[in-house]
Amino acid sequence: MGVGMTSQDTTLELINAEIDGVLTGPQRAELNRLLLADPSVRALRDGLTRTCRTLEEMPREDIPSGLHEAIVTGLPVATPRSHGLRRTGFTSWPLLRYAAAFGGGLLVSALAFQFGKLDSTEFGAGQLAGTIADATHAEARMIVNLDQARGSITLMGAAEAPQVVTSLKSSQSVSIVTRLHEDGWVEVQVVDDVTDKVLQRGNLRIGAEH
Amino acid sequence: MNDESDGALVRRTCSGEPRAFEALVRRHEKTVFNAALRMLHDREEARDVVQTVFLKVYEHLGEYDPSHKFYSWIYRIALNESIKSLQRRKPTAALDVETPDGTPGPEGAFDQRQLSDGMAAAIMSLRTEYRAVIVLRHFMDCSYEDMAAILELPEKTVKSRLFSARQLLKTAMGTRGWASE
Repeated sequence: MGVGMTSQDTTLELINAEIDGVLTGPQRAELNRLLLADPSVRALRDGLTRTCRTLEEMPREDIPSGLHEAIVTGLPVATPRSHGLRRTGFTSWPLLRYAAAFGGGLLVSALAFQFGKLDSTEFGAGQLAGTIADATHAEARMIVNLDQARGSITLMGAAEAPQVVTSLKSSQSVSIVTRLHEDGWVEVQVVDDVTDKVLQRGNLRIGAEH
Repeated sequence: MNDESDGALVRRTCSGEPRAFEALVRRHEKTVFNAALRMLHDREEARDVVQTVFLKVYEHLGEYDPSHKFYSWIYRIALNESIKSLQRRKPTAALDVETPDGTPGPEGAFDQRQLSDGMAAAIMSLRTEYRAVIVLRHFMDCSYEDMAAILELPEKTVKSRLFSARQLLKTAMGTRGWASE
């Protein structure tokens, strides 16, 4: 309840909070007091509750026959990464989301951040393909020591076109999500593919102290 | 694949697994269709909106910001496409909704179908911004926080709009002779 609310606003907020299942203990006590004291509050609450119950009981229609197939077959042949992964409206820096999902076993791969130099808004799948790489010339490294995955994620190469090298052994499906910022920092996240939780995050930059 | 989060399915789709996107479609298509149906009150238009929504989602999947909930993003697109579809209608088309009155059936009671039809007409009588919050809360199960994110409005504004919309529905149902008033 906010400052400056009228008693009618307060009553409405309490009734709606009850309908939405977010009424707190003190609010419950206040609503009960109002319901006992004022028949018009009871009538308002009954009417709104009935209205919302009717809304909830309205049947959810099945999708029309053939719609699912029409959606799936109507999609472009190209995978979304060749459409997306571009400058977005809400970020000022090139965005890369490298979805290196893997489950179990050892993954050693490298990804070159070449797109930061591209003028085009699209780039081909080849630029995303991982390659086996030697990480001995590491410039910045993030150690991953989780139950789900262990190993390292390393940033190497030239600062303006760095490579991310992953060397991880995982016990379940995780993704490595990376973003290259304009200032050269690379944001790295290890994400659990089942819960979608970020298990570990870090920032790497060639030449930076860690 | 059914147990995977939306975010994981998005990443798999972007990694070149189209079946992952099909799982996303299967997960959200019914909710999106019902939301469009309640916004438009027209199955054919709702069908078109659903197809457009998933096509747009697919085309812009690389721009999806994983720090936001995937369903919030898709629901926002669904609402916007529904509103665009409404705007393409002729001005009189919105009035073509059948508005059954609240005359009780032979047993002296309203059956569920009558009530639902009456409520569907009442929803269509609301202005678009009120209809949107009703659809988000009651047909897409969005929290106040979700609604604020989808509509890009402060949570306080969303709550105020939702409470007003419910009162308008209650009054509309009462005007039609239903027992909500």
